[in-house]
Amino acid sequence: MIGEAELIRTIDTIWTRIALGLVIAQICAAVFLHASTALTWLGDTFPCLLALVVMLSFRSNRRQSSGTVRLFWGLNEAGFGILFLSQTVWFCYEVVLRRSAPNPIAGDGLFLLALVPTLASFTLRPHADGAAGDLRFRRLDFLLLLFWWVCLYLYFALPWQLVVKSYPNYNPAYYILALSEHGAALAAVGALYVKSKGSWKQFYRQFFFALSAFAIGSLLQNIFIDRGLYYTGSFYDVPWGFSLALLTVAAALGGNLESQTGESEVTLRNRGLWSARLAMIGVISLPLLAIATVFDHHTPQPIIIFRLRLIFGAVLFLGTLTFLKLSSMDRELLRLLGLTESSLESLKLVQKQILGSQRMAALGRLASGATHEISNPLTAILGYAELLRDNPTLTQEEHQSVKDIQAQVHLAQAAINGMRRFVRVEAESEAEKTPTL
Amino acid sequence: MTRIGERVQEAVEQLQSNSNRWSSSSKKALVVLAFLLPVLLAGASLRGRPSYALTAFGDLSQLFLLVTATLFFARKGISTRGTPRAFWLLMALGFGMWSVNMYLWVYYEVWLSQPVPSVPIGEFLLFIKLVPMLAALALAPNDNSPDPPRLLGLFDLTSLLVYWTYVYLFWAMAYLIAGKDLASYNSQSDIVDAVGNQVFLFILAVVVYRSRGRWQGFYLHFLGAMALYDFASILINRAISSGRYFTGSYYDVPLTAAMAWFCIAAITCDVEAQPEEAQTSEQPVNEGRPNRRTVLWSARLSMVATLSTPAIGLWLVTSGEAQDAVGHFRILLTLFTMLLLTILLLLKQDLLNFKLAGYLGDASLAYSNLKRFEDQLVQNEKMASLGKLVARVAHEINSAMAAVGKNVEALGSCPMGDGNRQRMTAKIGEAARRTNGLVENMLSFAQEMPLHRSSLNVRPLLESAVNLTRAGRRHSVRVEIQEQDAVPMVEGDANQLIQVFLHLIANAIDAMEGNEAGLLTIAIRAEQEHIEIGFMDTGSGLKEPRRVFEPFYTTKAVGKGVGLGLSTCYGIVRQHGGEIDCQNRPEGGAVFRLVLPAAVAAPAEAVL
Repeated sequence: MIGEAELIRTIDTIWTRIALGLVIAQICAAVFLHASTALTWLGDTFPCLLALVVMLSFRSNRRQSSGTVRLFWGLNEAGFGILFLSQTVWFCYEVVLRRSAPNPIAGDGLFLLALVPTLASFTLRPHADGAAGDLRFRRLDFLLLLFWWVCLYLYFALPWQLVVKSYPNYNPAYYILALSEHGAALAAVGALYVKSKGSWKQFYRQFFFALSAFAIGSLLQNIFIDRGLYYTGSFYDVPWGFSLALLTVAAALGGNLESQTGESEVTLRNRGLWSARLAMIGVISLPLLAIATVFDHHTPQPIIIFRLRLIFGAVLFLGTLTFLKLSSMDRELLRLLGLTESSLESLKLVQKQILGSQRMAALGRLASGATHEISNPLTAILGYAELLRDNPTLTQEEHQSVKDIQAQVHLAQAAINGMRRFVRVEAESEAEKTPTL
Repeated sequence: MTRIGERVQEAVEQLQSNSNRWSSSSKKALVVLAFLLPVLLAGASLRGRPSYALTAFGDLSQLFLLVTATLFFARKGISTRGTPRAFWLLMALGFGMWSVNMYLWVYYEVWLSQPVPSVPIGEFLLFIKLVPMLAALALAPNDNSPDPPRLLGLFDLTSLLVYWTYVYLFWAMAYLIAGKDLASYNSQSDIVDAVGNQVFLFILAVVVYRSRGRWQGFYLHFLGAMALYDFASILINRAISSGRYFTGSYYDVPLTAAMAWFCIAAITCDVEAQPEEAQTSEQPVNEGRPNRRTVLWSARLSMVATLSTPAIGLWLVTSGEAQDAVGHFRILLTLFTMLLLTILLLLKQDLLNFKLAGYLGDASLAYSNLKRFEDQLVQNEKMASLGKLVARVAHEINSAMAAVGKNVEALGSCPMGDGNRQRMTAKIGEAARRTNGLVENMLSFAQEMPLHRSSLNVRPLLESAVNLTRAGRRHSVRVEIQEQDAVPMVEGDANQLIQVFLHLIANAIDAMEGNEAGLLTIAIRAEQEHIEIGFMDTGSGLKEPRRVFEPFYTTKAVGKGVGLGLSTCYGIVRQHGGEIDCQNRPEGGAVFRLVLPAAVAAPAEAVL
């Protein structure tokens, strides 16, 4: 944990300053201005700029990091980019075109989508890294989840706009979706907070605060929209805007974090498993939803038809994606199998080679000990020969014999010494000789 | 549990032998009967008009044929194992379903003597009977490749079966269940039945094409019977719709003939007669690949099936077919099928994920193993080149010693001379001989030599091994040799035995490396007709005493050994008719126990 002064230094970045300034300006505008065109203009500008600032702060984090962490920031950047886009849509309608925005598709849909990349980024668990091996498959899982979420929006909320126009039905469905999304994100980040340590824990805690402010802020907005008290730029916008400023603080806290290695192999393997399962459970939930629709006699028939079509189309698409994934997994399986087989074959070959040269190698390992042993009798021979040479009874021929013996022993010793030199060179490359096999 | 298992096994074996005993003659009789039945029926139906007797004969003979086929398939299933067992039992299940359908006909027409009502359960069984048969074919018992990815295939198979059932329910049953429209149901179920038969025929043809040998023969029979059955059922359906059909009429003759064919195929098939030999000799190059292809095919088929359900649903909703009760039923059916198929997909993906994780582990393990051994190979090659040098030097020394020996002879042959000179000469000769012996010992390491047995005294061998090991090393380890009195000689090859001793001593000294109070005790004891040598060290003991004699087992760091030493020792000791084992001592350290047979008793004792 870091000290207070250092903490302030850490979170004092250009993005947090801008965000803080924007929030203060927003509060001032809400307090001092009454509902007017100018306020609408301002009220639409602040969220836009705030979302942009959050996105940019994540972007600067992404640029400083690498590996899984980089992907984590990248996903969050994309998410808040989408949020920025959804706010821009509002801005375009209310400020540029000067009419109230058509509620659903662009604004709401994008708003709902914005948190999906963030959710996906949590499944990466950036704090606990390892080699993030099967990212390829997880990208597909992410795509599945994203599409599933879109489907839920299309299923629950959108029919009440597209097929039968009914705000009393649309709004609650939309709010519940948004709320459950926020709830899921909070649960995910909470779980990460529990499992992480040190600076990451601090970062997750801040992220959790910011996200809960985000959820509460948007809930407040929705409640007051329903009561008719809301107007763009009003004080009800402030909590939500403040939550975005909190997010920039979280980004500043997470700026220099790197993943901590040391996770066990098993958990590494199981990581991909759960995102895959989640994606598949999403796919399975769709037919269940459709079955529920068929038995639902309160909903108007056109909506039922719309929903059934949606589900059938979605399952078709998601099923295709899943099969693409399965076939690529299958190929990967075959590749690994081939790899294992070829390694085993090479292993056999290497073992055979080792077996083939093991006797010679054994002789080599014995060399230093053996030369020592052989040197002793040779030295003895030389000594005896020396004594013998001084013996006066020797004839000329016998003298020659003794000389011959000496010469031969010298030859043998020379050969041994040559070998010893070689052994010494070898011994230097090896740590220590062992005469075992 | 095992006792029950044994009893069941016994019973099965008894059944098997019993059935084998009565088989050949009664089988022949059954085959002849199966031949006769359609012929008799043909004769009877050509002259006959609809009568109770004719109907009863037709129904009963068909039932008899089907039940016989079922029983024979089941018997085969009981008497085999593994994949073929599953194959035959699934076949029996299929024919059992068919028999039940037939039994319903018999029940109504013969027992109650009234026309058969359109019984959905019977029709359903008739259609669904193809499912187990299809499953049986997909098991591919004819393909015995080593590791078929069966479990994955099972998911695809289940998906296909679910889909098959779905098609029937969707196409035909919907009219009956939701629409209460018997006429549509009948016509549609006939169509669906016919389509099912065609598909099955096609698959069977593919199987026939891909199989070999005895299995191909069986499949060919099956294909023929199936084709005949297909033809017969189309014929009968036509006759029924034109009102000219009655049980026992000549429209029934092809059907009965088809059943007889199935029955004969079931009785006579002997693909299991020599399952292993027949397969291996006939399919020498069938390894993995075709099986892989089948799996891929079934995977693709199940994919198409799974993806077609939402497409069908989309069509239903879009085309407005969903308005009436039948459409409603179909949508629900499609949704439930979709649910089932996606759940199967999830399970399959999970399995694949697990497999992938496992294979990833295997691959990295195999790779790191390979790396380790490659490093060792480099070390080994270095040592081997040194070994070659040693061998060359050894030859030089040998020739030098030979020359010394000649000179010593020349010196020694001189009659005159003092004792001192004689002694010197003798010592030179002895030293030269000793050098020679050492060199020979060393060289024997590098060559595969036949055992050169002689009676040996163990102690001097051990001593020279100890000296050879300790030469040129720091002596931090004490070595003690304890010998019992009157240890007999052993019968063996001195060079090889010294090699074993060298390994054991060097291993013990290595185990006590850096241990100041290290003590290696070598105890020699006589025991009846053996002598036992124990090498006890005070090191850290063995990690896995059971595995040390395996080739390439080593606990040493890379470059220090390849783990062949002890396995070589094991081989040498066994060659000598001895034994070697090892264990950890309770007080710490390891003990290697070497047992060698003693040499045949000395002649002096024989006199006594």
